Amino acid sequence: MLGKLMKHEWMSLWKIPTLLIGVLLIASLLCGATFALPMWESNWSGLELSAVAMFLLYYMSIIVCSVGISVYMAVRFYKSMFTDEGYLTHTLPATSHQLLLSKVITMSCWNLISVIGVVVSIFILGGSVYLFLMDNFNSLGYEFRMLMHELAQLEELRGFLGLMFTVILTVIASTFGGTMIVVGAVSIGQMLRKHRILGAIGAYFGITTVVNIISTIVMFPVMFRFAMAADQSDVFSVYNAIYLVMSLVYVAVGVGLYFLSEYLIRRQLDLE
Amino acid sequence: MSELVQIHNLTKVYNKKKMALDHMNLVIPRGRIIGLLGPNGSGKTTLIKLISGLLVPTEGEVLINGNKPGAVTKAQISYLPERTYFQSNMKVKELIDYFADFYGDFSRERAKELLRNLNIDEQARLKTLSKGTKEKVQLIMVMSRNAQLFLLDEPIAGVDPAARDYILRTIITNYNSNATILISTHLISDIENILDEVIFIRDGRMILQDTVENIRGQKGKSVDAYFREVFVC
Repeated sequence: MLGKLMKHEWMSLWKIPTLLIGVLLIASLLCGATFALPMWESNWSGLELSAVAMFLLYYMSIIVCSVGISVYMAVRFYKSMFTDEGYLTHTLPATSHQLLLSKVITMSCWNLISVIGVVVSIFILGGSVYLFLMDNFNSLGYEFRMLMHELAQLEELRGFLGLMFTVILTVIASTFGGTMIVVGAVSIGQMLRKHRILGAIGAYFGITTVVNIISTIVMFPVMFRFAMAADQSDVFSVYNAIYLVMSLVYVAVGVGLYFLSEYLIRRQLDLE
Repeated sequence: MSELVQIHNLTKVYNKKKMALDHMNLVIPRGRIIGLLGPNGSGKTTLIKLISGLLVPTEGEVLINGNKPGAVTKAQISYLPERTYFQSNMKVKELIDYFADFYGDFSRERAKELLRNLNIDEQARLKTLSKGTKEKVQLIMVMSRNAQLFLLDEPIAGVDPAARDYILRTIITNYNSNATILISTHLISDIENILDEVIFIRDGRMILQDTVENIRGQKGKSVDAYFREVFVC
């Protein structure tokens, strides 16, 4: 049943996020392509202006893509669970856990895909800059290779790779935690008789504030230990610890909100 | 076990103020077409939603085939709400796939045949259909299941009289004789002829459960006329 639910959830969600990520990637290509313009050889300010405009377009695309996908997911979750569409959702022969899991997994996947989309777009832009500016900065490629070569000699590289792994772990944990904050906020908002959307928005900011406070409290011992340590050269292990703690907070908050949301859907559901 | 649904002491209070159902006790047998009748706000829709698991009781319990509302009972119940509830950008064909995927008792053939009979294009998106046609599509999906209990909340309220006849014929001819259909409606005279039993409810309480035959025999009047007498304003 979970597989069927996820299949239909995916089918109902994929179009808008795919469109937004597509727009972002095209914007990054366009923005990158402006570096092919002979900006350094021409005095015409139109070239520079078009490059600035493309950068703005790219910047806006990143915001629209990441925020847009999150908002779209939140609206779809709300509509499919708590409006007229909920009459179909909640009469499917599925448990509340199956219903909620199918939505949380699909939403988390799309939030993760949007993060990957942003990263890919940055690589496209960076690649374009490298490709088109090689002629202007002949030594750039060489210097980059030298930098990588020197990094490879350093013992810190291991720490750096470890940090990258922890960062990826944190990104995955935060997409789950972020999704659950949205799901939890929408579910809590439904407890109100009136102004449920407003309630959900209020709950979202409330939960986010609580999560930030918890993060600060949990992070404090890590920072304190680092400040007190005699050897402060191992920066990577400090950041590793910080990101690991953040991941744990996201997972703990996510799991807590999952069970709260499931309870509210199972025991407090009152479709109008 | 001839009882399909058992309702014990069922109470539903909205917002800690409005009592929609008041300690209701009711048994719904198998193999019957039952009219759930009552004035506006009497608790008909609340009762149907509680049976289908869309609401949680404040007190008391509902048992369907001995089970509380949940995944098991939802597989046995085919529910038609009083509103349009499908995602509007879905095609009719996609709805058929959706129902076929989730409900093992759904018959694609029956759904397609009913759609053909009503000249509804399977490729049409729901948002392009009129309100009446959407309601027909919903009814077709619901009646194309071989469920044990059909809960139809105002199934004919939004369609024209000609379509009403077709819908009622559809209801009668598309359910198995062991299943029960519970129909909530105000249009009593339109459905009276297909009903085996009626349940009258007022202010969240059941005030009558009897066969149509008994009402006609003992009261000497139609269910519609008797309803008007009981619920006179």
